[in-house]
Amino acid sequence: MDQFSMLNKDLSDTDQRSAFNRSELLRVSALALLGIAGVTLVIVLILYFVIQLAWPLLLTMLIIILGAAAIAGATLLMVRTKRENWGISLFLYGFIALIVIANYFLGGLHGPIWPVLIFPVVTAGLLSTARDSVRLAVIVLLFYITFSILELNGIITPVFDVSMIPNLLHMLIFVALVMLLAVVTWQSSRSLSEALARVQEQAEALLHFNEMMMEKNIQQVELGSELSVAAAQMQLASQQQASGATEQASAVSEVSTTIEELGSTAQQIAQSSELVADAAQQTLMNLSMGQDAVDEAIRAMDRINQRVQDISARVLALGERSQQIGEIIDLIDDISDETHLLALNAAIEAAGAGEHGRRFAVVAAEVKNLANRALLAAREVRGVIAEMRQATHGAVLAAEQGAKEVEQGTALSQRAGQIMDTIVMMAERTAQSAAEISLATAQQQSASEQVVETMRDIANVARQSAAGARQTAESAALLTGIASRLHGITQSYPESS
Amino acid sequence: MSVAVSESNTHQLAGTWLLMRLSTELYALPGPAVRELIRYRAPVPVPGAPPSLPGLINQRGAILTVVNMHVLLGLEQTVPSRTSRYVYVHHEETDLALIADSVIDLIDIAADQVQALPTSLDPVRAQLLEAVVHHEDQIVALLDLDALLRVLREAL
Amino acid sequence: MPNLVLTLQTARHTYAVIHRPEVQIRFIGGATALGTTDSRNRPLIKADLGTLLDYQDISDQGSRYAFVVPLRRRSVALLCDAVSEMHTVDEGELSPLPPLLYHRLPHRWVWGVYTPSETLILVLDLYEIALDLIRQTAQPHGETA
Repeated sequence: MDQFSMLNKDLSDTDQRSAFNRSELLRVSALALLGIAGVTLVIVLILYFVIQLAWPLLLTMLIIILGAAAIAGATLLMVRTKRENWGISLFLYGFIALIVIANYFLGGLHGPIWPVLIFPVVTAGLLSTARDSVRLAVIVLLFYITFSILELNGIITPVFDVSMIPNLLHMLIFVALVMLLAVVTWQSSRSLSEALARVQEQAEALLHFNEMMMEKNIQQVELGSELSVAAAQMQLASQQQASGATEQASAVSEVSTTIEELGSTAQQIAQSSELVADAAQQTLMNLSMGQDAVDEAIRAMDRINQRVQDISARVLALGERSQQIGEIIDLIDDISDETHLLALNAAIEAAGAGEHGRRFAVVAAEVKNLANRALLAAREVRGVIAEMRQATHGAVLAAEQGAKEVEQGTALSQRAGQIMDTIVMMAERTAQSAAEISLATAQQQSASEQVVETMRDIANVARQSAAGARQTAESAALLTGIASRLHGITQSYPESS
Repeated sequence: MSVAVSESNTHQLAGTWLLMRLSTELYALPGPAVRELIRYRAPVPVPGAPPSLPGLINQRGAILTVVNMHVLLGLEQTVPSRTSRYVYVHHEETDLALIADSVIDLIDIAADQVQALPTSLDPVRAQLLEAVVHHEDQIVALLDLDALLRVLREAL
Repeated sequence: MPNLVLTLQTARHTYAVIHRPEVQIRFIGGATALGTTDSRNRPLIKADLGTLLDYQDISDQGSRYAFVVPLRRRSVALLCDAVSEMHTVDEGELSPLPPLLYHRLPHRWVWGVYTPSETLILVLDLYEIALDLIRQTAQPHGETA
């Protein structure tokens, strides 16, 4: 897992692909260059001793070998000191320069140019980036042009002309180059395929990890957003709670005020109900007296009724008597009428009798006067009797009226007695109710006191809860900030991957 | 028929008169003509007789022709009462029973009391009257029996 | 010469008549009905005495008495409710109507008065009544009594 950790460490690097095994490649390349140097030394020695080549050639070869070895050593040194970029660039450009120079001096303008052109480019393409290949190609071209210009102007001359170089050597160089290329390519491709496989694994792992990360990120994001929402809600809720608690506190104080008022009212009611109970008791006492009075009144009415009936009967008897008197008076009237008639007739007779009847006429006149007086007296008596009868009639009527009124009075006093009974019942009920009310109000008073205390507790709790809610709101605000920050962080992840 | 009361007439009219009430008015009959006062009783009606002669009564054997003075004088008819009387008058051989609502008394009328009848009096009534007198602040009409008989024979 | 006086009753009044042998008194009622002719087969005219003398005097009695007054060519039956008494009276108890009244009457149906003790009963002249009835009924034919 070293690589994974290394990769993990290099996640932020921009040139991931070209750098995955550069140090190893450089090490390989350096070894290959050492190998080339050795092979070339062997070839040079063979050439010199077997083929009997001239020393300039051998010198050139030696320079090349030394250059290659130097480059390889430098490269290895670079690798050891972990200066990969520098090392690879130095290796490549040094290698290219060596090859180009060697190629020129070994072949001149007519030497094997194509391998010189192809080799570095391919190597660069294999070992480095496309940019490096282009850069190498340009550099090689510049070298070649420079050498061409210099050779044409005669400033420099190749060590070997192509024509001087036997085809075998030419062939050998080519083969050596191809072999080197093949080695490089093999190494490169092996390491590349391994690297690729590893990379694939790593990529898969990375992908998996990425997915996990993504999921986690998403979860985080979701959680973050939920958290922020929840935090916001919580903040809102706690704010509401805080305001609610404040309101509750004020409401509780109002309620406790009201209940205190209620308590005082209950006290008043209790006092009033005591008063009512006293009044009802008083009423009951008065009513019992009143009842006695009513009973007395009823008895008195009965007595009055009897008296009135008595009086009425007596007055009626009197009326009958007066009628009898009237009949007698009628008789007297008739008699005096008759007497008057007789006296008149006597007077008439006396008048007819002339002188003889004069004395008789006097008597007749006396009788007539008597009759007249009797008539007048009878008339007077009749008037008196009429008055008396009227009076007795009125008295009878009055007595009847009185009897009726007495009956009504009796009925009324009986009703009054009944009403008194009802009132007594109601007063008793009132007294009872008042007692109940005073009991109930006392209970209510104690209950309201309890309620006031409870309300005070509630108010305290509300005040506390308001403070708590305020704290919660602050915490929620903090949480909201954290959530928003988290949100920002988690949202920036998917963009980079 | 104008009634002029002459000096001799007033002298003639002075004397005893029977004062009676007919309806609401006071009338007087000459005392010498009055025979008796009789308590009223229902007369025996005679078929075909005029309203002024409602019937007959028998007073101790004397057959009296009842005279309704109200009809003759044009007075309002009255229902007979306890005070109603017949005044038995004998005049010119004729016995009459005049119905009076009540008979008051025999009164003496002096000549100077007699006054002429008011000219505004109804002629039907006036023909039966001699004169008027004031008696105890009341006007009393004096009935003329001759005129009464004459009227009874002629009409009503 | 003593007179025989009969008293008779109508529904409202009591009258008297002086008895005459030729005037029959017949009882009418039940099976006995008064025919249209008299015993001598002459026409019989009937009249109610009560209503004749007093239009308000209407009898409601079933059995009646009839005074059948014979005239020259017919008889008149005058009906009353009852014939009660027959008195033999002195001249003093029968008196004619007072002339004043008598002259004021339209007919001669009442002869006079019968005055036993303090009472007074009118004495009717049945012949006068019968003749008047005949005159009234026969007047259109010009018949006279």
